[in-house]
Amino acid sequence: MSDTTPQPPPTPPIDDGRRRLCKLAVGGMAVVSAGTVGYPIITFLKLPKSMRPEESVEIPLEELSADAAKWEEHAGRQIAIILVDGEPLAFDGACPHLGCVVLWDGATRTFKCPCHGAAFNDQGEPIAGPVNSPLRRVKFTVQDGVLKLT
Amino acid sequence: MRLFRSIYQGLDDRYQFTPLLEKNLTKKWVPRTLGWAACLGGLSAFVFLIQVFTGALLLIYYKPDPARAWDSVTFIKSNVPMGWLIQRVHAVGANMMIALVIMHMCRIAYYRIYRPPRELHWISGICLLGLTTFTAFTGYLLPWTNLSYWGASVGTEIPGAMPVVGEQIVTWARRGPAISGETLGFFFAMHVWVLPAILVALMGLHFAMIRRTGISKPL
Repeated sequence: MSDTTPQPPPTPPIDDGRRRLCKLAVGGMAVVSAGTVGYPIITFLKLPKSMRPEESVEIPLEELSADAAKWEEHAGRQIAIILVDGEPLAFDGACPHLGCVVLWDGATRTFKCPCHGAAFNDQGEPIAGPVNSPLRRVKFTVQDGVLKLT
Repeated sequence: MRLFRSIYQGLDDRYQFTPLLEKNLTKKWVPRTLGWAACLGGLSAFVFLIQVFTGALLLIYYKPDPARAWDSVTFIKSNVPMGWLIQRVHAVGANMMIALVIMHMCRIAYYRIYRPPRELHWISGICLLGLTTFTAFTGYLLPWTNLSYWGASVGTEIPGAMPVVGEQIVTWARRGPAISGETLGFFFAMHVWVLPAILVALMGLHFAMIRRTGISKPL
């Protein structure tokens, strides 16, 4: 006696490809949507061009005087420009001791640090106080009577 | 992908998100007969969220001062990257939100969904419409253009038609006899904090009530 119960045909394997395509399509749409919303928001948060700090600072030489220092902000540093024998010199105003911004004393022609009494001559060399190293010189160019910090 | 799944699994083991999500989102069945128009209320809430986010972005540059308001809005529109888009979305979104709220209200009125047990849904909804309008109105003054100045001027004139208290309400809303810098500050405070805060509270109540009674099932 043979078993004549008809067997159901084997179920075909699920077409995983279509399912994956659907998932991919939904995921793709989600990514595109997130991009369209996210891109303008992130762009909006960028610093507008007009608010970015100036790349280079230009100072006409006639603005410099023999007894007063000209202070300019450049690349996040306070820069002091002084005239020594008619020649401009630029220094990073941060005291090499602990980073306070020094003050220019025109009468004695020295930079004095208000924090711990360090003093520097008009070449930036230390002459008093808790420092051994000079003020950092800042490079500049002079062209057509205009001093340019780069 | 596997990383996200294991992070979710770890959180789910501890806080059981899945039943919560199933009950409220993935296995929450809505009545078959509900049409797309039943989305109008939810869409209003969605546009409100857009307004909150674009508004927060605009707040970075906006200055509620008569001397600087117009300049700051012009700066947003012409100097801030994508600022024109965010500003436009916020301005158009306000109109969209009012349109959606009114369409939502029309649907509720047409199908008479305001009947018991949903009377308070309707009343809170009317309050939400009023708040939406006031929020849009106070925002209209903020760019400090001629149009917004006269818009605010005419708008604050309206309660003046009321007997006895009318004039006092006009003066109160304008913070003086005419639209001035004081009005701008007042409208700014109302627009960015006071009215949205009340709006959020009332929206929470509105949604909670719908959750309790369930959505109205059409036949």
